[in-house]
Amino acid sequence: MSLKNLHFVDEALRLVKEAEAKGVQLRILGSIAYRLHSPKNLHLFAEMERELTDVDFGAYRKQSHAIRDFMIAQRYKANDGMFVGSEGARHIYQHPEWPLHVDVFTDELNYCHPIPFKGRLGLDSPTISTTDLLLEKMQIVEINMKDLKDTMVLLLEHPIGDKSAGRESIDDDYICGIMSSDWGFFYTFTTNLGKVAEFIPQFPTITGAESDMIRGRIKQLIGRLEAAPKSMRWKLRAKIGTRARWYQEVSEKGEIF
Amino acid sequence: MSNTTGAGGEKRIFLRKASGLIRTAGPFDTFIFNIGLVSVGLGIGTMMYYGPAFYPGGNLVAACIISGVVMSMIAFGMICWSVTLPRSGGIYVFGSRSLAPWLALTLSLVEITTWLFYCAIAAYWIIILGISPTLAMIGYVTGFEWAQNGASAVVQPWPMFLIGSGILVLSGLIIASGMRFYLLTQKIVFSLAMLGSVLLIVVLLSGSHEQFVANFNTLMTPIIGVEDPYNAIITSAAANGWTTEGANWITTIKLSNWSFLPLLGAAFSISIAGEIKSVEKAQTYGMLGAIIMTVVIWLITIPLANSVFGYDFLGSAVYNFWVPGEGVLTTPTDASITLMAGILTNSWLVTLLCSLGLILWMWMWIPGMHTFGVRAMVAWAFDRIAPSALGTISPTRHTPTVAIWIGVVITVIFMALFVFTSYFATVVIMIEAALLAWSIVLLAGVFFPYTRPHIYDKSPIAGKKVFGLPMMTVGCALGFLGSQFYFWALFFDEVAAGHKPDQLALVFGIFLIGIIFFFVMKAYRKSQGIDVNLAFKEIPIE
Repeated sequence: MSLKNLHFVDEALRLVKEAEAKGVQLRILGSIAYRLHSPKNLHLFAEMERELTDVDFGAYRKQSHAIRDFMIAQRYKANDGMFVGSEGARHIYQHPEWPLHVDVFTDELNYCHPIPFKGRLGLDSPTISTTDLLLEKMQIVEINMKDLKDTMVLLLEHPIGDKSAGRESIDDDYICGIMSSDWGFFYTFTTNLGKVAEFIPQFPTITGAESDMIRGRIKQLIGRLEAAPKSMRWKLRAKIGTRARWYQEVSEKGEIF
Repeated sequence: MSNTTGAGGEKRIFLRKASGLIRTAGPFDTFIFNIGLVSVGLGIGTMMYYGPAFYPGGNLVAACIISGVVMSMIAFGMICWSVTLPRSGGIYVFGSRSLAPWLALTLSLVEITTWLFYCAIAAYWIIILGISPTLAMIGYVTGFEWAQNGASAVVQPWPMFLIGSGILVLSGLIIASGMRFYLLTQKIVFSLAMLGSVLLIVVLLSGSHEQFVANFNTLMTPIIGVEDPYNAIITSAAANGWTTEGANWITTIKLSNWSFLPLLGAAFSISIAGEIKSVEKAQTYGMLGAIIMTVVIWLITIPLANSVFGYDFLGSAVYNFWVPGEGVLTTPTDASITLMAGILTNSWLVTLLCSLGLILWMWMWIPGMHTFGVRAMVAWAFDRIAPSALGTISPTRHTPTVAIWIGVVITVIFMALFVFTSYFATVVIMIEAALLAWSIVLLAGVFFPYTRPHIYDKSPIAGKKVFGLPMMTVGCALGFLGSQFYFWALFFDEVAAGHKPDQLALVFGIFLIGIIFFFVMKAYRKSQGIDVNLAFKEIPIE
């Protein structure tokens, strides 16, 4: 197993469980969440030789103070400037001994395209739902190979729109609902799905059958998105296309005060 | 891993994922923030109000240009600082990384005390330059006594204090609702305020001097009780001592204090730099854009106003209002430009709309300067040289409510000082104190590339040179010269500021309070086992 700082996974799970005991809802997202949601294909992650550095959580903003109190009680050092400067939308904490950063995003993951969490954190545990995991990756405009590979594994592990699979299925209805009113997100999402399909050969461990499964699911999802009726706002924005910037610019993480 | 590219660049794969931060304010937000703090309409209002009256013979157009050029110099210095250290908190951010901690805090305290003081001035001006003339005009044209009585009533001490305090509390409520909400309200208010300014220009373009004189005389003859009150006011002012004789370039420079004061707002985005996207582009466009747009609007509006209303008349009416004398004649209420615009069109609605525009321009000062003060107080709290309670955020709104409401209390206290005491003339010197604080920080900026090269080398402007010198050195040198220019212009201007002994004592007192506050906090933190000086050395750099 070639993955550095694997103990961060245990720490993330521990924080979710202990927070839950205190009535605080934290849900893991990011690379750790992808690992937890892909138990059948952990060997694929091993090939990436990734180093875990962060633990990311989704949470509700109304619990911001409770989250902060909880994390400080766990001896984490809080970044006050980020908390105040973002008005509770984002928390950053540092583990007292390990090189571990904890990021908490409240009510939405707000990068290139916002992904709402409101009402969705109860859909799964200890991570955000598989649907939101896919949205999390596919909203990245400057996507990299690590993100593409994470997505390949996720799509290999989880079917699209299979209600009988329950929370293991990626909810294409929900994704269609978001994409049908937001052309920019639709464009980024479908472009990135195309890249996932294109770069499968970069992952030699994926078998032919697995590759076909991933491509099939991508085709299925893109097909549903393209066929879904679009709002007037979507149509108007589509006329402008990429001539105007269609996503939010993400700065490097830095201090506010 | 290498990048691969295809058609349209969409096939590119990147090496690093942007896992950073979405900042709240974009370049346009920054521009709106700054131009709101410049307050284009307020500048027109105060220049046309104080200029001809107390600097007779001074050249208003030249004053606008001089102040625009000098403020651009100051902005250049502040842009260099803000791009190098893109954090929120005003000059505290710059001072804490280049000066002794006690001096950094003191300068910041002086700075924000001045801006909070100007919040109260803006509330005061909303009443005397906005609400009162509006009611007066409604009363003159319609004959409604309630309006005429209202115009007088609102400028009485208690009504003025209550209305002004209400305005200041409203600012607190808006800021307490969050930065995004505040920026949204600023955009809406800016749009409406610009409409007011455009309306004023349209009114001036469609009117004439003859029309104004005729309307003024028709309206004011029964009120003032003389024939041809327009010229009677000018004649009585001359007899009362108003004259343009002896005016020279120093008169114009002093007059330019009134265009410079609002232009200071163009650099206020240094208070929110940590919350701005693309900070280099945003601060450059935001600051210089605000200055240029403001000066252009002034250069259109002011000559028009002069030609329509008459320079001598404007100067005489306001002069007589403030300088008592036997037989002096003037308008029954403040001869503000919005009142004059209403008289030009014989329309209380025009006065209402122009006044609304002016009121909105003046309003924009208040939450902006308030935000400045709040950000500085929070920055102090994080560096532990102020009680950590200042950084407390509300569990519901997630805004720094303690700092916000302390700001409100301070502004209400200033409001009380204006209304119930004669202390205003003393307190107005605080702008000199703030300029002195900015001067010191800009001077520190001249040497910053040499004193803190490890920080400056990370700045986006580190590789840029002007005449072989670091850009920051040149920018801050120009800024220092600019701030010193207006420090001394205000020092020798008894109307705009001055240097009476009690005023200088006030400035000295505020600096002293800052120094005492620092050392008290330092001792308190030491008792808690925290060395504040060490905390300053550990301040993380971008």
